[in-house]
Amino acid sequence: MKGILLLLVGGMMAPLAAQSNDAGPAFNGLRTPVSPAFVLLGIAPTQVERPNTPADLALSVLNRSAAFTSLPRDVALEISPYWLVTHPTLTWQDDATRGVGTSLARTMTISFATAELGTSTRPITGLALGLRAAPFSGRLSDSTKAQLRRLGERLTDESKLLSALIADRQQALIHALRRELTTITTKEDSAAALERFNTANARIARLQMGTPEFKAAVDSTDRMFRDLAVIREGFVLEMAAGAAMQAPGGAADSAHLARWGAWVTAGYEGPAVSFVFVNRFLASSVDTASDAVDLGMRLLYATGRYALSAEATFRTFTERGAPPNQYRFAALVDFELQKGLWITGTFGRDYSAATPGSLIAQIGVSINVAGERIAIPVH
Amino acid sequence: MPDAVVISKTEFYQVKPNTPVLLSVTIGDDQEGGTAVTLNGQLVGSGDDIKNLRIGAAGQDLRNSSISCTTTVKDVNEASNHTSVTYALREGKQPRDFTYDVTVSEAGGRAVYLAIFLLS
Repeated sequence: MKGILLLLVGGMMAPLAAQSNDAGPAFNGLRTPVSPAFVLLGIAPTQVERPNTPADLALSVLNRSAAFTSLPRDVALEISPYWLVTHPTLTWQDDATRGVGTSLARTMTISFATAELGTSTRPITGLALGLRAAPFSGRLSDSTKAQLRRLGERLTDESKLLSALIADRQQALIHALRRELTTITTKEDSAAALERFNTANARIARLQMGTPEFKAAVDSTDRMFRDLAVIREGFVLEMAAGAAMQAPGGAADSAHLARWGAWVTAGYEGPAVSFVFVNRFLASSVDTASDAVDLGMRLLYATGRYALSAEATFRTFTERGAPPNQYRFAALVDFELQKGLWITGTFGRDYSAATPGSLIAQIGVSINVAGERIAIPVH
Repeated sequence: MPDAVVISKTEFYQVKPNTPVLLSVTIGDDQEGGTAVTLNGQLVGSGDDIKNLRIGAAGQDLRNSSISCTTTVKDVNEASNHTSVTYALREGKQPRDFTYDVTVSEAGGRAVYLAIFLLS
């Protein structure tokens, strides 16, 4: 079982009006989070438990709660209910496009976290639950489909090679099994013979998979598809919501709703032009002055070596006597000097225009050799 | 990259005398894979999307033959490490589907399925 290390992130809990001159993170901070529970609790767990099966989930819960005798401590758990069980009839071709129902089912995640938020003299146990789903999750891009087909061809070649490497010994095993089965009269003995055959067959395959010839084929495939990313494009709509409770001293009676929020991210990703619209609502019973609604929009034009984008965000505080509405604007230019080396320019104004440092004017260099430089809606 | 998970399964399938059978292979769980199919050790088909592959020539008696399928599945589904393969045999005495699944230990891992069908 993976251990959990929780890091408190000051930025997550900072007042919403905090300045940020970094355009990308400032806007991306409004987007639908992967795990709303972690955001609301203000933690960035370095390890998140993602159980693959119902048995894994049950084991996680039992271990973390000491068999239901205590509140689990320092838990960061994310569950995709649909993917907890196997789906043998779902091919990637079937998943290339999705209806609303299938999209909701396949993208729904539930996040749960607990953390110690107080001090040693005033301990506060935090507990949060979040839900995230995408009613629209686009369609598989043509380039991804082409890559998956090429991968399928390579895996077919690997299978043909392995099949050829084991053919003679496998046929000898099959003949031996056939002979043995003619002498067997009970189902139990037959099952035992098949079990022995399967063990020997798998052992032969493992031996051949260790040969330089086969390893070279596998390494070649892995090199070719090291950066394979399954990209979905088209219209994407993601929604998330969650709530966090705080229990001073870990006492159940003292538990109260501390923070809650909701997010909507809508976007369209085309071959060159994309847009993202974000809407975030955050509220807290501890500090109502920072209760706010954020709206934002980002437009992006990207080609192979450069990208131009503009983003604007508007923030309104919901409490009486709160600061006036704020807005922020930034234009970004990204240019790839050479593979993986980007020069980035950001220009605009931050939320509080009168504050020193609110003018955004930055030029920098960034290295990004893996993945996409420009992240657009949801993949 | 961790070693591939290898699973071997053996099944019996009753054929009709002097009649070929049809084989389809479905890679499930939103993953990608490829299969090589042999009849008595000889390659008779391959691909990542095998649908109704005819095994045996017209009039060929397949009794006492064996079909071996070697399927390599690579985990490309970011949401799950489950892999599964369904082998569907048709045109025998009864249509049969044989489904196997295994979970790879980490994203990008491989699962190798060795499915043997003893024909009778």
